[in-house]
Amino acid sequence: MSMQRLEFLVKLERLLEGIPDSERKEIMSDFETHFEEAREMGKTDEEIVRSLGSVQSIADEIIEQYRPHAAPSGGSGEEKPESGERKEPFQAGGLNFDLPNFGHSSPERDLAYGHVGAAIHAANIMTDMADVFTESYDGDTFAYRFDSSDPEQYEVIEEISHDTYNIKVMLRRTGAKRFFSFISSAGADLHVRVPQSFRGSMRLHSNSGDVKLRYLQNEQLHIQVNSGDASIENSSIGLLRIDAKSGDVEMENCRFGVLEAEALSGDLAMENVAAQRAHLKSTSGDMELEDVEAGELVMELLSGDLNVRDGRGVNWSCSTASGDVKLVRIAADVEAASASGDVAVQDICGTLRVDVKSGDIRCAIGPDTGACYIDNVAGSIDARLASSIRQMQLEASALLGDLSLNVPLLQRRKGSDGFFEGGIGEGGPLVRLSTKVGDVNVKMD
Amino acid sequence: MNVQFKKGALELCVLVLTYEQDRYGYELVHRISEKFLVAEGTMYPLLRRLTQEGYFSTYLKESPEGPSRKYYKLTETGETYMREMMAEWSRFSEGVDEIIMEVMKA
Repeated sequence: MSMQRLEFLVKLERLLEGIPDSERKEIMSDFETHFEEAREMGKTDEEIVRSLGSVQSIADEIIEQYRPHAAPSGGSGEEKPESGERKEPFQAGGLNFDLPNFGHSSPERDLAYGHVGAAIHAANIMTDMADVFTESYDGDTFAYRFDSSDPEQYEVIEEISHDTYNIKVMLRRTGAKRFFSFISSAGADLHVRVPQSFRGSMRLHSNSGDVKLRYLQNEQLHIQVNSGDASIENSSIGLLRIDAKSGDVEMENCRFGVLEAEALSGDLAMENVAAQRAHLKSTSGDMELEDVEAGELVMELLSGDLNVRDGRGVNWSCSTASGDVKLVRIAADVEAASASGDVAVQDICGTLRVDVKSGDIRCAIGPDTGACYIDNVAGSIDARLASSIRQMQLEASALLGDLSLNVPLLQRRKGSDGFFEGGIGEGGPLVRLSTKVGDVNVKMD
Repeated sequence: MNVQFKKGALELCVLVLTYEQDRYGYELVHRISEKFLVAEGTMYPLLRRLTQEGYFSTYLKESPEGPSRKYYKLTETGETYMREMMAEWSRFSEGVDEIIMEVMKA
């Protein structure tokens, strides 16, 4: 599925959050069918999205019908509006499974549902003390395989309820085992196969155990891992949310509409990932990003380090409290802030804003770097200018430190102790370097 | 074009097309967008509203090529409504035509 299609569908679904679930699903399926049909007619997703018009106005028209007073009178009987409130499919903690009749169902029984993949719009996977492997396959039913050297210890429950596929792996915690299960557990693997046609929303909750996902195409995916690592590869997801409490998060070869990832104490790594919008957070872990494309990208770290190489986008920002930041070869407007970490930037194609309180700043400014505003309070600034720069305006100040400029061709207009204003040639981007208690060094390669 | 006016006209087109025979969503959207420049996406809320108001009933039918299609069938109430709208439309368009003719002939 193309990004345009995903983006359209995800946005529409989000805008329709306020209407009853069943109605929203029906509308979503109207639009999904529209895409399929228009594709049959040889149109590209881009053309289809363009002729569908604004998502907002479509949603507005639908929501209009749910206003009080606009309520349908004498309906056809086909619509059964539920209570106006939207039923939240998941509890915040994720542990309260709202399924009254959790029965055992054999794979044979599931096959009796026929084209399950097409009729299923949501999937929930919950596990405890097991690793989970989820990937799509060329079939039309959900299927699972459970491997454990001590299967007696586990209870596996699979069920299809309305349009939702549920699978749950629980450890039989009885007596002492209840407390010591983490010692005696034999470990287990749950493999879940997702039909290729499944595009709905999926939720995966692992209490303890790693989670690995591959080749998925979902509208929405929410992964929650309490203690274990999460990795997702070769997938295309409209809206992905990952919450990892103590494990690492890894993403590789993926396309996302919206990505929200949070690793509390683990590291976060991304390679060859594209997203329209991404928000990454970590508390004590590091972030390592390579070959990343994102229109809007926000990276928030507390004590971990951030390392980004080869990125493309529009507006990027990152902040750390005590970790270091290193950004290399980024084509985007970049803002980097750190309280006490060091910041190093190199080959930025776009504007650059750096704000540091007490770390050191090193930056290499190239001919494609736009305006730079580099501010420090109690640390030094080292700026290296590429020799190919022909035009640039420079303002540098070191209030209580030394200012040294080693740049041929630099012409001074104003200046005094610890302050310089001038430039190379006429015009060009403004580079402003300022620190209060620290040195400023500028040199040209 | 005035939005309300366009909505009314599109509504009438959809009603007339389904009067001829049951039609599926994309077919209706496609038929209409061939004639007018419309944001195709807003056709679905329209179909939905007409369904909710009882002018259409819907059913699913397998399609040979792709996913199963939702067909719209004009109900009796829908047909009555269509005739009312058609009468209104005639009055309206005749009025417009008359004015144009009067002016352009002169």
